[in-house]
Amino acid sequence: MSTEPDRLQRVLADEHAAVYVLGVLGAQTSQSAQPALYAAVSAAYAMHRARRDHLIATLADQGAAPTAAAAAYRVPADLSTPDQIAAAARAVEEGAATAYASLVGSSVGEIRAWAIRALTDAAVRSLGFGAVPSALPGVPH
Amino acid sequence: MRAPESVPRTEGSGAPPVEADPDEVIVERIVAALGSAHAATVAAAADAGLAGLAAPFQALHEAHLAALDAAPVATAAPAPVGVAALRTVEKALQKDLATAALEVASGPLARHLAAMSAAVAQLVSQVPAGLR
Repeated sequence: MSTEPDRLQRVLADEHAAVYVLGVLGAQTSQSAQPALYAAVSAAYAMHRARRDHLIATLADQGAAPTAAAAAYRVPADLSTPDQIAAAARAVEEGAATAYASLVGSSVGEIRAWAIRALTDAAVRSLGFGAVPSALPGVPH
Repeated sequence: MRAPESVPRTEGSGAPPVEADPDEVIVERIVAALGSAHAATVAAAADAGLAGLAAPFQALHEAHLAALDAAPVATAAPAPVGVAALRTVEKALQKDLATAALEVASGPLARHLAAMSAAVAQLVSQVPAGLR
C-alpha cells in the first residue's frame, strides 16, 4: 500500500510533465493571432507551476525528497494548428483531473481539500480547451 | 407463543442503539441537496427562457442521484427561478458536494463526491455571467 508521500510524488511527476507540455504549447501559440488560446494556455501553465511548487513544498515539509523533473516529456508531434494545441492542452487538464480525483480518494484533511480544488479547477479549465462537460470528471468510465 | 424471558428486548432494554454509518448520513444529506437542486431546475425548465440552461443541470442531478442509488422525489414545485437564482442554487450544491467529499471516510466515495462537485462547477462555468 502506498504512503501519502508516494501518492504526492506521483501527482508531482504528473505536474512536472504538465508544466513541460504547457510550456511547449505556449511557445507554439501566437499571442497576436490566437489571443484567447494564448491566454488560456498561459493561465494553465501558471496554475500547474503553482501546483508543482505546492507539491514540492508539501513533500519537503514531510521530509521527502521531491521527485525531480525529467529532462523532457512526450509532446504531440504536430502542433501546427490551434485545434491541435487545444487538444494537447485538453489532454493535460483531463489527465490532471484524473490524477487529482485519485488523490482525493487516497488522502484526508488538507491534502484532500487541496486535491478537491485542483480537480475542480482542472475540470473547468478543460472546457476552455474544448472538453465536453462530464458527470464525473476525473473518474474513469 | 411467548418469548422466553431471557431473550433481550429491543425496546427499552438499555442496549446501545445501532449507530448510523457516518458516510451514509452524509450521503443522505447530499441526496436531499441534490433533490432540492433538481426541483429548482425542473421549475426553471418550465420557463421557456431558462429551459436551455436548466436542462443540463437537471440531467446531471438525475445522473448523480442514480449514482447514489437514489431518484428524484416529486416535490411541490418551488417558485420559478431566474438565472442568478439558478446559479446560486448550483454553486451552493457544488460547495455541499465538496464539503461532503472532504468529510466522508470512504476514499472511493470521496472521489465520486468530489467529481460530482467538479461536474456542477463545469456547468456553472458555462452559465453566461451577464444573465440575471
